[in-house]
Amino acid sequence: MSALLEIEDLHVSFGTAEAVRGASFAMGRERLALVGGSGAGKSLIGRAILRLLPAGASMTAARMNFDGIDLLAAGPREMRALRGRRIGWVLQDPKFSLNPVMSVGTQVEEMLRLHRRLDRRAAREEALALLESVWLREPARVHALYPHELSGGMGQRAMIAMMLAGEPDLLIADEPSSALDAGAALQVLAVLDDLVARRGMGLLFISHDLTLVEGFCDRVMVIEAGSIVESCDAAALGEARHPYTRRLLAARPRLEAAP
Amino acid sequence: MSLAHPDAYEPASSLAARLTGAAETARALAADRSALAGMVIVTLLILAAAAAPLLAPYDPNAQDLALRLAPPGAAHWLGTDELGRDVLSRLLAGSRITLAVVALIALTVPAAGLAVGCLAGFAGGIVDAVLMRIADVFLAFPRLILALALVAAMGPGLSHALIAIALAAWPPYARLARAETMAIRERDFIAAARLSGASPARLLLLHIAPLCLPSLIVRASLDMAGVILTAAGLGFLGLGVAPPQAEWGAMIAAGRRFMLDQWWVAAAPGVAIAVATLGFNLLGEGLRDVLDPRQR
Repeated sequence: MSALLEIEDLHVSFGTAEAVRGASFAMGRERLALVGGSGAGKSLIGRAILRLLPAGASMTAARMNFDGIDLLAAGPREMRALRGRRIGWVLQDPKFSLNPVMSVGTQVEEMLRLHRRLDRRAAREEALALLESVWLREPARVHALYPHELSGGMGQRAMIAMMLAGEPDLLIADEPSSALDAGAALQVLAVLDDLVARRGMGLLFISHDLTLVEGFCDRVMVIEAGSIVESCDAAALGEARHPYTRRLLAARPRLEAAP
Repeated sequence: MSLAHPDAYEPASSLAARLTGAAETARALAADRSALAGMVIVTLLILAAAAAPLLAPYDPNAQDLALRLAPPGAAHWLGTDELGRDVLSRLLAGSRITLAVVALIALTVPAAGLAVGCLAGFAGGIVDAVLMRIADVFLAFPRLILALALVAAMGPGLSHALIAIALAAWPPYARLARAETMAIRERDFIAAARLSGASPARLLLLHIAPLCLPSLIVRASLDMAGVILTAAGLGFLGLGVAPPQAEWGAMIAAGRRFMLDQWWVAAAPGVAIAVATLGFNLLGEGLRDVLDPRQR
């Protein structure tokens, strides 16, 4: 498999505190999970790929390539052209990640016009198609709704529709289901699964939920305190060796383990 | 709602949504008695100013020295001034000046403040420091004094008075827009927009500026009373419009000399200023309650 994204020896630090210590990995058009506890540095790795780190953070890497583009050498303009267009990002909570004063449809259309230079009419038609592709029924109705009028699951699917507007090759999903209830979460995951399969995108799925990831992704990377400690096929997770991974696996809630 | 015609649905719905939004605002305003009073006063003022040439019984500048300082009566409802000009006609003519000043300031000053404030709040660092120190310099003087000094430097005249009022009025708007921008800047949907490739200009224009608008509108509507007073103050001191033209502040200044014996000459424009100020204040407070629930 040719690598879509290659990262070698990525370090992210806040002053003297190192938050990501030498992460290296490569991924193709597959579903790759990045799993770790809070503060392990998983979101920082994602943000480092888009070169949008929080204020005060600095990064170095030996190599960072996306589809033949050297991300380390790219200027601000080139990075902007990548964001949204080639690499999409789904944030955790749709309640906060959608603009509260623009209707859902307008936001999707804005992305279409920004990235694909569609005119009004074409953008509207495409926006309706996108809303439908994330399993939002009655796209014409949803199009006119404002974010506060949507449920969490609908909001997250609208967010995904927005991110698909640029037709990205890689979708980074940062805990896309953890702000949702179980039913809505499953639906969002099913939508992601469907889209990755149909569009042939790569998916970098950032999560703290090993159980979820095990069933959903092709490959799993476990990160602890800024280092990638385990990398294996999701199916082979049961044979993972690293003590941290074993601890995570042991901590999974199990129905039969009830006293 | 007909799903069979999705294309026909959108314009109708967005127009309908906008109309319901405006209707809701109007209804909420009407439910508040003082806001309703403010709305009525301001509406009457606008109508009076618009129809001034039709409503005015006389030419506001026509002198009749035989009838100078005539008390209010059937021929001259509000009497005449020291040159025998009809006070009511001059009052109506003056309302046009006042409303023109209010309208121009209300359009330009918040826009300028929004631009400066959003830029300062969004860019931060040296840009923020420089813009805000400039604002501080303007804020250091009381508004009327600053406007006075500016007009005195530029020379009297309506356009100079406008420039002076605008220059004295923008800093609080910039401050407000900057504070809003700094709060909005940190929100997740801005991060989301950035992550999806929005340029800084796009972030500012599309996502940040529209969210700053409501508080600026509220501030502007509360500010208009002050603008009327400043304009009248400049007129009173002879720094507003050129003499033959009617202006409320200048009318009071002229009537001041006969205040004790011919009270109506100064009282009419005085009452007009008080009522107009009150109207804008009531409307402003009503708007604040409707548009900005946080300050309720």
